[in-house]
Amino acid sequence: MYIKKALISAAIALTSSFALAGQSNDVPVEIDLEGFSALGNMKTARFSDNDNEFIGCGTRTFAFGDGTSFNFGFCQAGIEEGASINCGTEDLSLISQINAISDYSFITFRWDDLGNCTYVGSSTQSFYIPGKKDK
Amino acid sequence: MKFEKPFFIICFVCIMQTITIIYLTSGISTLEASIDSSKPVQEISFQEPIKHNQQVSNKNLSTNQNKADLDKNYFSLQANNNEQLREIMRQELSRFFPEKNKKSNTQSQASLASNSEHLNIVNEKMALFRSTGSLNNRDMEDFYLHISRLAPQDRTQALRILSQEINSGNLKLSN
Repeated sequence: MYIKKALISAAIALTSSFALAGQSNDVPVEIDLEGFSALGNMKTARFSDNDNEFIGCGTRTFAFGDGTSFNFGFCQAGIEEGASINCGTEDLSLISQINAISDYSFITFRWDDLGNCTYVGSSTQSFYIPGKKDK
Repeated sequence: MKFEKPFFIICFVCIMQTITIIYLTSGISTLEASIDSSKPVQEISFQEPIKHNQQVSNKNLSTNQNKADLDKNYFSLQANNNEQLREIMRQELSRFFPEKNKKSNTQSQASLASNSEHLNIVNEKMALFRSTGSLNNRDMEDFYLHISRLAPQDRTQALRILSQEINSGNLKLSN
């Protein structure tokens, strides 16, 4: 009797895990200081064993009430403790690209030696979404 | 005998040139004598900050200790130069728009004072971040707020300096 129950439970467990299957891509954060570029996906960084790993971008808008405003965006990434990379931009097309980043996106960005962002890319695909095993 | 006449003419011209050169040279020496070398020559006002900037640059190139001073000087000198340029532009524009002059003058002076005030705050905050070596989200948002109140070119510069400090490892992001 016990063996029968155990077999049924095992079958259910296997079926449910198969239902969650699907391609999953892990892209750990990489920072190329010589090439002034960084990439990685948020899922991998967030669930990494490395507590210092992160990547992301953000925007800020200050409205002055007279019809003018100040908009800027930034991207940042880190792997080691206390060492991170940051770039800023006031370029509206890059700010627009930053705003296109969504939950669990893959992110890549480049910067120049002045600290200006020169390129921002993002990709939102199913294989970047965390599965059960990631949590 | 045919060549005697042109020869004398050439000689006459040469003598006249010599006399003219002697006359002009004596004029220059008189002019030099009239200059009082003990009085310093007044410099153009724009050269002062440039000279000062060069001194600061030379001093700071050898050490990273005074990097904060360099940035502070950059901001203050840039503000001084901008102020002078704006004053010149105001004077020029006032010729064409005399009626609006009074109002715009008051407004621009107020915005200049405000920009200068926020430049000082931004400089102070950056110096504080450097001394502590880190900044958290709250610090960052507060810093962004002050940056937003700067003149556009100063905003860009302040954001660049922030990024450079983080990238060089002088500033660490903390929670």
